[in-house]
Amino acid sequence: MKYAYYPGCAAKGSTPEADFTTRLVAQTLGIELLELQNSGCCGAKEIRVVSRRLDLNLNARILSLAQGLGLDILTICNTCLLNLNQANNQLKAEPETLQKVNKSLSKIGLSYDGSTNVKHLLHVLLTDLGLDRLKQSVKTPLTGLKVAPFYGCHIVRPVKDLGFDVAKTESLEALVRTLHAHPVEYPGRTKCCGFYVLMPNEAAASGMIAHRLEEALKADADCIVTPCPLCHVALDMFQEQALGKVGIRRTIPVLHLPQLVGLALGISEKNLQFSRHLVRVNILGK
Amino acid sequence: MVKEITVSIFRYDPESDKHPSYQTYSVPSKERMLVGDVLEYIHENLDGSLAYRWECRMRLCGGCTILINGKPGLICREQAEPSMTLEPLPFLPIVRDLVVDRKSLLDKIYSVPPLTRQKSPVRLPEPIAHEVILGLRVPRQCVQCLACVAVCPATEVLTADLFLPPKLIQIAGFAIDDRDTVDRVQESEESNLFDCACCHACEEVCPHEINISEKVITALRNKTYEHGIGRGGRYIKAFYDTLQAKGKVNASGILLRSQGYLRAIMKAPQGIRLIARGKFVSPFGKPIPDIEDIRTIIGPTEQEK
Amino acid sequence: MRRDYTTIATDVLIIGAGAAGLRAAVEAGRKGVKVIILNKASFPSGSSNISGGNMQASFGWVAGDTKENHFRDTVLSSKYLCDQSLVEILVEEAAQRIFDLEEFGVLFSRTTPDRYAQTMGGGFTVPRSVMVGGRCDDVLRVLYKTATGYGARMYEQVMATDLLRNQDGAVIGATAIDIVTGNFMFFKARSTILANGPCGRLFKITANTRSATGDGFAMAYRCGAKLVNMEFMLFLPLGFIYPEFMKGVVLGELSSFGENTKALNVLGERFMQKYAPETMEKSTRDISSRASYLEIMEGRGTPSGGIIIDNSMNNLKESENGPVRNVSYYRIIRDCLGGDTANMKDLLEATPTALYCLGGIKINKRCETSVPGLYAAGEAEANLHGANRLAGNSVIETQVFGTRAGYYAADYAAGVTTPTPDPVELINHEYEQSRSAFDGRSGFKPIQLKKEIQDIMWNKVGIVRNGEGLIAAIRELEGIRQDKMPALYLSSASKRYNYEWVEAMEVDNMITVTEIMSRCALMRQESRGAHYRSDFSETDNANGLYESMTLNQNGTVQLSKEPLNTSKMIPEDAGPDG
Repeated sequence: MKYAYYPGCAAKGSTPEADFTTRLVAQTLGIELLELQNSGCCGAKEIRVVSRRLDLNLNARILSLAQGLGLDILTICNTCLLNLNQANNQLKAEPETLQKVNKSLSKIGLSYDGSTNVKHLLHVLLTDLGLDRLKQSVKTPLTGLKVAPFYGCHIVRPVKDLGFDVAKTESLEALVRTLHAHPVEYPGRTKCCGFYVLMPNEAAASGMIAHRLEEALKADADCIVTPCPLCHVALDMFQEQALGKVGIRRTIPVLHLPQLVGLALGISEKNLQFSRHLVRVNILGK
Repeated sequence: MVKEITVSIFRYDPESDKHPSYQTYSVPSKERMLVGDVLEYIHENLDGSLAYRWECRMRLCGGCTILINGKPGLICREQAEPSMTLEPLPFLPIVRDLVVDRKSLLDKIYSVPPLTRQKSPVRLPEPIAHEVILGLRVPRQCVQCLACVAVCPATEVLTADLFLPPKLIQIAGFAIDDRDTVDRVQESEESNLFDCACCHACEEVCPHEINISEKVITALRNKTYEHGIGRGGRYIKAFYDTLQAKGKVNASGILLRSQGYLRAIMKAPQGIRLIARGKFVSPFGKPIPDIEDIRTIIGPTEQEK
Repeated sequence: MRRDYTTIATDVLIIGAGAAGLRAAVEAGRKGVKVIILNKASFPSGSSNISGGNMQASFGWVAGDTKENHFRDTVLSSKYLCDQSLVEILVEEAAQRIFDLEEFGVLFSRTTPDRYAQTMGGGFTVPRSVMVGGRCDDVLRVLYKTATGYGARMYEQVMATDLLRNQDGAVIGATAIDIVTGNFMFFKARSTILANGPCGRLFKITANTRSATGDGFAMAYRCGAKLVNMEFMLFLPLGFIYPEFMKGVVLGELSSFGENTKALNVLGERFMQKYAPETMEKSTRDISSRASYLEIMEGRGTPSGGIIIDNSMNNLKESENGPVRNVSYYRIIRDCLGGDTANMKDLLEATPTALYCLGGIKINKRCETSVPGLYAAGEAEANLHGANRLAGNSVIETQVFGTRAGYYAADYAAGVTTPTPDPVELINHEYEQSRSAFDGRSGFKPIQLKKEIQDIMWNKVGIVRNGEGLIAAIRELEGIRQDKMPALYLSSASKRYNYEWVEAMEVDNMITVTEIMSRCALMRQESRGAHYRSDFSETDNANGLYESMTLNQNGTVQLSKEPLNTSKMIPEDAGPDG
């Protein structure tokens, strides 16, 4: 198992612990990650507003870099996953568009042939590695830990672009169970964290964040786990402020997916870098 | 053997009931049953007092939307499931049982002015490219069923007064029409276009499978960006500038570029905590090594719709 | 004593909020009068909303596309039974009404930027129908915004119960019930337009919406307006057979699926061989409907009661969605019956279905009915189509005659200057009548009677009729009226969105219209267009060229045969039947 690793801007900048723990977990599980150096941004939801073509160029460049390595891409960011997939699907379906994009890429000595697959760490754990093998690697079963799985939008929707319905198949719940933890049922699991409203309208985003956190708190979860660094930014960095506004004093720690897996694999708390979170991670010993 | 569908239905008559309640019915199951079939069976055979609404049976009147196991759907579209809870759409005054008063929302949606010209067309048909017509028809497929409203996280927080997806869909139905003289950019900004969280929840429930994020939100944002006005346009410009400068993006860079130095400083207390946790990315940091590659492929010459 | 009701005054009252009613509202609004539209359902609704939106108009862009040809095609299709003075207006004004719609903002498909794409239909000499992309709902929204822009106001979920007349016999508005609150209302109007024609719900299987119970015809009849050609009901051969909820929704037309579509019965026989060996599956819809209906009625239908469409021989690659070119239909078939069926790789089951009432309220060129102050437009009005209607002539009818109705009704309203006091006694009577449904305690629920009526109509007054069956139907319908309707009861005493109450009022209208339809069908002892009598299977030009007229004579249906307006074309000089 070897992948072209594309962590994305957020995991490199705002949540370096997600990038760090992904590498640790991959190493422990025998997944080889070859980082796409210099890969740059996927354009998120913003560059397509400037021009769809620019968004395609950015993503085609990333896809082409992986193609050069002959590897599929593994990303740990939901938005990167969706953007790369959407671009990939369009480039595969529209030969004319691919031709135009390749004309741009040729200026930087690249070209793309549509052969790269894009996966999220969650997909890799579920299907490429398999939950059985993951189970065998569990050293510290998370027995008794009540986890609220928070998917984040762009790994769930639109299914036709992603090709895999992670929410309907309850894949995050299955993964949580594999680690011997207990996934709580709650309405917010596939709802939006509000990340993309943080910049244009922080107050609105704050409201969304508070709703999601409240839903998890109501379900009596010990922590939230998310496969997306952007959700983490919203739910962790802005938690105190969001809950404060609605008068809630309790907090709930938010774990990155690799952190939860790492915890069960016996990776030390220090190496999981919980100290980088803004909300104290107080789940150990539960 | 006759299988049964167990359906629990929200009952409430605001004139006579103190509280809503749920009533359970058993309906014989058969192949290819829609939720509408279940309700019709109840109406005909079990309980004529249950209020629910439908009209066209083919997804065009938008009037039969209810919550089916918590998810909004048209009763003429959604398949019946062995166990169902049926409830009225949220956010709206309840008329009775599953029927809600949609008027307040529909008035807001239809308040979007129609195609408005400077003067009457000189000759008809007016020259208009078929591709433009096809583009405009995508948002115009919206039947105001309000399913998207029920799942929109922005509407949930901001209320329908401030954010209403079908209103933006209406605006998109005119936005790329060159004949139109209404300021659709301002209209979008006033409808808080940039408060969409890009969560795609609306698309998932849209009975006409409208690609709302691309054909409505991104399309309108693009128009706004090209006009270069408003907080949204400034934000996109800042993102683009950051990307051109660094090859990657970070919040501080965007903030600095969109809201000015002062605002960025105001956020400092948060910034200090982030620095302590190794999470602060300086807006003045170095670009990625291959920055020239990025600049080349996202430069102005590469732009094309 | 004055009952508890609200009076709302207007200049023009429009009952019905489909394309005809809304177009009338635009035109009346433009003339500066106050307009109120009553909508029994909530917007958007009506038959136009669910139609394919094709509209015929002659623009003269292709060789042979003349108004004369549009006229000729329409008259031939009507089997000479239309009012040719109305057809003249239709072909003359159609193009301008399309231009109006474009000006309001409707997006018509183009071939080149300044030419509309025009499509063919059965019975057309040349391709003539303009298209809005296979759906008409956007036309409704455009019209609604335009009408409200001119100040028109729509009352939704308000069901008109009856028209009221003053001592001079002129209509002065309508009583109505607000379905949401149960409140009783009187809409006082200087002139009134009926645009609530559709009545497909008289039949067990129909493509029409829930509200299409013939309210307009019943109201017109009760207030003394003349109805014509009420025996003519148009059926389509292909409707959804399941899911049950969608039974009858239009599936398409045999000829539209592809060149090699086969229609089969349960024995696998291509049954069109028996009925129309020359035209086979490409036969007109009246012939195809009749063939399918007979196969099913004679026991050669599928267990679900349908016929089978086999599209496997068609070129499936013709378009992205296979032969189902309308993406809305494609999705419905895909969701309900599966992707293979939607892509025509699998067989499709279908049933004939009731579509459109060809007869209606008799109007003149100004859309005036035989009652002063009362106008009609759209499916409510007649007689534009005679015994059969061309595809694409009904939506354009709503525009041409909606415009006229709005225009002349506004004129009439402007001329009514004497203030009308509320006719309190009449209103009280209507009030009592509408609430009488709540008096019953046991007996029959409205839905039961509705279903009984629909069964009778489908089996005996449907696609194939005969004297014996029609007499039986009339007797059975009378039985329902006399014995069962007085024993109606409602499950709930609530006046709030009590749809059983609405259905009780609908049953009353349905029984009125079905009796008229059955009697007209019994009177016409021939077969012509959509009216087929197995006991008189030939067209009889010697005796059949009349407009059947229905009038309310003190509560009983009085029928007569009226001469036709054949100002331009008479059967002898028309050449072979189209």
